[in-house]
Amino acid sequence: MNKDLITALVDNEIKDENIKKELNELISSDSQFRYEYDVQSLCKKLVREKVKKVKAPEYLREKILSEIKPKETIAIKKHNFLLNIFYKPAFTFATALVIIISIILIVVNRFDNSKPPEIDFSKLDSDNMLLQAVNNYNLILNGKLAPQYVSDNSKEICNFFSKNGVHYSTIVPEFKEWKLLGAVVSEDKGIKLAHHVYAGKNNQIIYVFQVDKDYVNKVIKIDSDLLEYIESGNCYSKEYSNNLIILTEIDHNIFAIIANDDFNYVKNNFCSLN
Amino acid sequence: MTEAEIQKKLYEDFEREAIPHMDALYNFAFRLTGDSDEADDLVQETYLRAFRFFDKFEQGTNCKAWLFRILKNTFINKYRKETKEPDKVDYEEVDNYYENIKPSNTDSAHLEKDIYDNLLDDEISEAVNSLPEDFRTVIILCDLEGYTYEEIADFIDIPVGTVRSRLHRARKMLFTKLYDYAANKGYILKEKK
Repeated sequence: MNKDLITALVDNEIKDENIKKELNELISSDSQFRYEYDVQSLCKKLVREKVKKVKAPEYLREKILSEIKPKETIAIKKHNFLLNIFYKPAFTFATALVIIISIILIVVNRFDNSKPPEIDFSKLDSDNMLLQAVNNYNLILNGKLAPQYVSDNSKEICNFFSKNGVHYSTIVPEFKEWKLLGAVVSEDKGIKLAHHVYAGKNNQIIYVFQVDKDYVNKVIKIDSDLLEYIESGNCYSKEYSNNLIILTEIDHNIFAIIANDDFNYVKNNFCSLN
Repeated sequence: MTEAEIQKKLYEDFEREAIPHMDALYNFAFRLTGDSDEADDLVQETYLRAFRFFDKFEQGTNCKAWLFRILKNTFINKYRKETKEPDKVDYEEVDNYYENIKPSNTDSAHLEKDIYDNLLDDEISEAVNSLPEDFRTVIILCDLEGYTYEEIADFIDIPVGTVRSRLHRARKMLFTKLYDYAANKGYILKEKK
């Protein structure tokens, strides 16, 4: 009998009861067939139970949907709407003026990046960079997250990042008052991300999480107003739960820093690098 | 219906029919390419192509099989690395090795204990990923995704009998790889014939 049929039996693909019976008898009586059956069953079981399924990342779903969404439809509709209201006799000069002023206000506000946006930390998603930084910082303070690599040398830490799959160039500045403690590489949506930690003279902790700008809103989220604010060359800082939070862009990386050292010193150190 | 309304309906139908299969397609793409960035690109290109031809897709037929076929063809055309042909396999060599590691008394009671209990999940994934593409494909679709022979035949456009014989060989090949892993780690004592 063809041994391929053993495979079909393992996969419950034999519909003919007579063939099924014949195969089962062979398996019971012939050790060669029994062995084939066991090997095929074992491999099936191993793949089914031990190989993990990989899910499509959420950003991919959104990206594909946004690419195929009929944008012209929206544009045409808006265009028709504008044309229609301009044709209406009730559309007076005053109404037009109000719309123009509103548009000017929107545009002015949009480009007014001098004010930091208000961020409500209680409403941040779990994939938000600031929230992840705060959570990691708390884990460090509570002794639940320790460096995977201990070094006080910035070059060694950068090497550690690149050897452990961080595919973007990392920056680990050294500061007079702080000592580098070490680093951690985390993984999010299959991308390796870099974190490092300093200690202050009185055991203050300064935690730094940096990602390449290209990963923002693909791997990790940043509020769009906040991103616009720091992309305009600003350094965002906020006091939160007795700690200082900083978000800034240095070269092509976005840095989230959480620290409990002197706020002005922390701000001067990092905000001067952008 | 205006052109805009037709486009809108097409988008809504596509979102309802095709998008729910993305996890299965992504898993397949990831196993084919072995890289999350390439899997992203492959799935994205598959969906963009599928959407371009979605008006030709016959509603009510198997959308998932249609998407798998597009993905496989896209992979063959664009993403298969280095060689233009799938990996050539020396079946005879595999069969000989398989026969060689088969214990003389063919007592298979210890196999599950030696291999299933001892090997790590990553080692098993690695062994699957190292299988030649045609074999990896049927193993993923049958054992990981749980599709029937008929569905797999439909997805990758081969006869049902070929699915069965390919699976038979693929598992033998996987077994020889796992056996080697286990033997190298000392979980199995190699029996020379």
